[in-house]
Amino acid sequence: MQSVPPQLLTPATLASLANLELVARTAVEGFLVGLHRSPRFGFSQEFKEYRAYVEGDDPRFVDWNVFARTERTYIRRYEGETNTRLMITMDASASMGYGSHSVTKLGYAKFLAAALAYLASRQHDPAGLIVFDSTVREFRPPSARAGSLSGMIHAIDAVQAGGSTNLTESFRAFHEHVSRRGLVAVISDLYCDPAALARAVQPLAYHGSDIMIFQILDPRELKPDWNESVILEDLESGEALNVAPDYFRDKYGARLQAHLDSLRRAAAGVGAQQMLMSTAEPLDKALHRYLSFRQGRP
Amino acid sequence: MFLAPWFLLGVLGIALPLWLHRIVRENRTRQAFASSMLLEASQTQRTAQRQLRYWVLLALRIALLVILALAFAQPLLPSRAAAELARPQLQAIVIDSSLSMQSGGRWQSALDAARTLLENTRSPDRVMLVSASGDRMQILGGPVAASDAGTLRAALGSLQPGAARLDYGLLMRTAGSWLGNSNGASEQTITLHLITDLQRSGGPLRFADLQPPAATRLQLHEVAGTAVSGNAWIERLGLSSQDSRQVRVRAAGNLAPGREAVLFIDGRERERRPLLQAELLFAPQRLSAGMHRVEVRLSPADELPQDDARFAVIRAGDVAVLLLAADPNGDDAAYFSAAVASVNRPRLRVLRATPQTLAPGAFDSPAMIVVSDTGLLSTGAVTRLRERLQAGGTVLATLGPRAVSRGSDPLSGLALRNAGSATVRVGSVDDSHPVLREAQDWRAARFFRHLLLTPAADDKVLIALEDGAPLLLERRYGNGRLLLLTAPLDRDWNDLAIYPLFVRFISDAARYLSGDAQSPDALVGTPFAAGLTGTSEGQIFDPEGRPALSLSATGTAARVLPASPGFYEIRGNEQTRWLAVNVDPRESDLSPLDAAAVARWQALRPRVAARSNAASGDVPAAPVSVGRWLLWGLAALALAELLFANRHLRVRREVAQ
Repeated sequence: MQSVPPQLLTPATLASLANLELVARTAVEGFLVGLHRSPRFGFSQEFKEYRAYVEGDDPRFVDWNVFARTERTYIRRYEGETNTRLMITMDASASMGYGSHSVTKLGYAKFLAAALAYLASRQHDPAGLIVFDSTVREFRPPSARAGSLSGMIHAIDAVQAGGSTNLTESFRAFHEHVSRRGLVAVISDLYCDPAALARAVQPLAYHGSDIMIFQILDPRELKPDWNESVILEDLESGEALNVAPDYFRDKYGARLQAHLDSLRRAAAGVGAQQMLMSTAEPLDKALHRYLSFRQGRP
Repeated sequence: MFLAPWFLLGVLGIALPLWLHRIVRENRTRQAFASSMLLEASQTQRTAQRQLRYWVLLALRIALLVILALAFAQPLLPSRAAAELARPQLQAIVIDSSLSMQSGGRWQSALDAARTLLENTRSPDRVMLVSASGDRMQILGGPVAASDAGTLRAALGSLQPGAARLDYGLLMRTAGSWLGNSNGASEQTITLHLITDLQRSGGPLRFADLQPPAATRLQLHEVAGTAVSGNAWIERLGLSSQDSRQVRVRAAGNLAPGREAVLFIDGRERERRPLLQAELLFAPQRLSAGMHRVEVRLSPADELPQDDARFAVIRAGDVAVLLLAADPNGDDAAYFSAAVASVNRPRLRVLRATPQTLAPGAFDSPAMIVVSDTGLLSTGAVTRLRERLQAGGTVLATLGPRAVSRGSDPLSGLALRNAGSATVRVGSVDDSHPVLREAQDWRAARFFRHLLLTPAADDKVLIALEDGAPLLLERRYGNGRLLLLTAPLDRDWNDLAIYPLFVRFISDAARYLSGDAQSPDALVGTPFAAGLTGTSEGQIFDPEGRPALSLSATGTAARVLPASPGFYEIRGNEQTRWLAVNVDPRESDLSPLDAAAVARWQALRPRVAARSNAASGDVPAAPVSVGRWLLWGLAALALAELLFANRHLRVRREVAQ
């Protein structure tokens, strides 16, 4: 297998690819190659059993050592393939449309969602999609059937930013669609009350799902670099504020950090894990964390 | 040193950029942002920076304003100061020792300033000390090397201010001579330190007289301070025009209540009157005929007591006029006697005499001498008359046939010749002269014969005939005056004597020449003619009774320089006269020169030396304006300010993403 240079996984590079499925494949394959070469990380899926090869199985999972000894084809099955249902919930509110460079937060969220879906599909896990803003805008139930990945990626690709964020209302709505336990990946910028986040996620946790919260922020949100006073207009509410540079310099960082800490505590309080990502970071980091999370939470 | 120092207040304008640079203008650029959840609105007030912004631009703007203020204030720098400092200089320290320096602490300040200058004199320089007062600049010491300045310090310790007036114009006009650099040919440059109170009344009539001599730099040290003057003085003293027995005075200055004027006549107090207004009239006094010493003194004394008293010698009774003619009973003598006797105030008593009957001391006592035809004067009489004139006497003389026969006027020395027999009339009259102010109809008189003469350069022609020949001219002899009528009072020559204007003319001339019945007044520090002639038996005593003339000078010196106010006693061979000497009233006005005049004075360039300074390498020490360089600096700063301001304006707004 050809190795993929790391710079191909940068958001800017991925954004240049027109096809989101191609983006997902490039990201995941490149990431997997990186994993095999890494001394610290391994593919953490736990081996469970051999199963006779049937038509339609991916020949990459055929255990050729067994075939050499027995001249019969078996494929390896893993623990995660049997009981993990991935539900990707993606925030498509107007604030996700913000970006200070070529990749907006929604664009990065699409990359991440597509990669997660592709990875699940590669492991034969059913993957579903929920797109929400103040309400549930799109719902695709988890499915591992052939062709479902293409449909899902198409649905992800069609998402446009708009509307305001209402986590409580949205999560109450798609809680109705999550009937079985599994992994729920929440992708959002989380401009919400941490308590509201806890209240929204808690029913899923009680239901037994593992919850992974990807908080995506733009580099300029993490570290504003305005040197002059500037009027900033909220993409969701339209509110305009005249903000002085000394506020960004002296207060904003502490206020953001307090907000992140509150979110992290709120997530931990309901058994979820929260991961902060910058749209300038390579996508493989998200996949690393995802797999690490899966390792720790079988 | 600035020509217009008030413009320095413009430096306060730097508060404007300081204030502007503390304000950040509102940024109207709108940019989208994900959420305002973590943001905080900034009010306009909060956008004011606590720290100044754009330091370089601010510094440029402050420098721009400072240089602009300096340019308007017009700073002056000494020309080639460095070159001058490298050369040994003569430091001439001139102390104003006039009367006004006795006021308040001015004299002590002047002494302190002089001592400081002596101590600060550099080693290669030489230094001299001069006391300036009245008409005489007294060199107290020097020039000596700076290391020998001890003698000057000793001289400074014994120096006292005088009572005379200092005229800054006279000081600067004569500076070249007593500095030893009258033609600017000296190799050294001179710094003239004038320590003075810069009295306004010390200014000359012509501002150009303040010009320093060649190669001399003037440095003024003002010691007047800022205290408001409370000085009062008596400006004028004389007899009332309505009643010659009444003494009238006019005071000036700060006439504070509680003071009174005390009248002394011949040393005895006669009357006291409160000084409630500037004009004061004393009660009629009984005065015997003759000269009387009148003194009016303000009491109590003020900060400048030397000018509180004023002195006058007043003649009471008739005034004698000596008429000298060839025939005491001739027509001309009759005409003169009648006209002179018509004068009522003062009453003039005519004494007729001929050259043969003239007594030796006859010229000393009359208030005026009339000579009908100067040709009759002997050589000795001419000499005595000239001495009389030099001593302040007055003579009205006519020319006549005897003078014509001598070919010249023996008294004035002017050459004479007949102008022919054509009848002429008066062509021009100087009616601004006191003698001719009232008389009219001069053109009525006919002159059948007249004389031609060429006046001397200093002679003033008061009346000229139609052909330009002078009819009446005036010549000054020191304090004395000669009125010369070039036509005799003879009907064969003219018909002047039959017109009323003749009487008016003679009475006005008599009043003018007799000094309005008062003896001549003298001022402290101004030489006066002693009137002691010919012998060594005369003497002058100052108000303290000390001889004013040395033994060797009594016979020859005709001029005395009074040092203090009061009555000077002049004892001659035959009589004793009194002379009133007063301080100059202008010295009593302590108000200073305004700053603009002082600045203009200091900006005057020294006079051009006899030989070229450029050729000799001497450097004129006049201050040089630096305005041109300031303008260049302004232009450079304005350009830099534009560039920096444009640069900052370019980054003032954030660019929308």
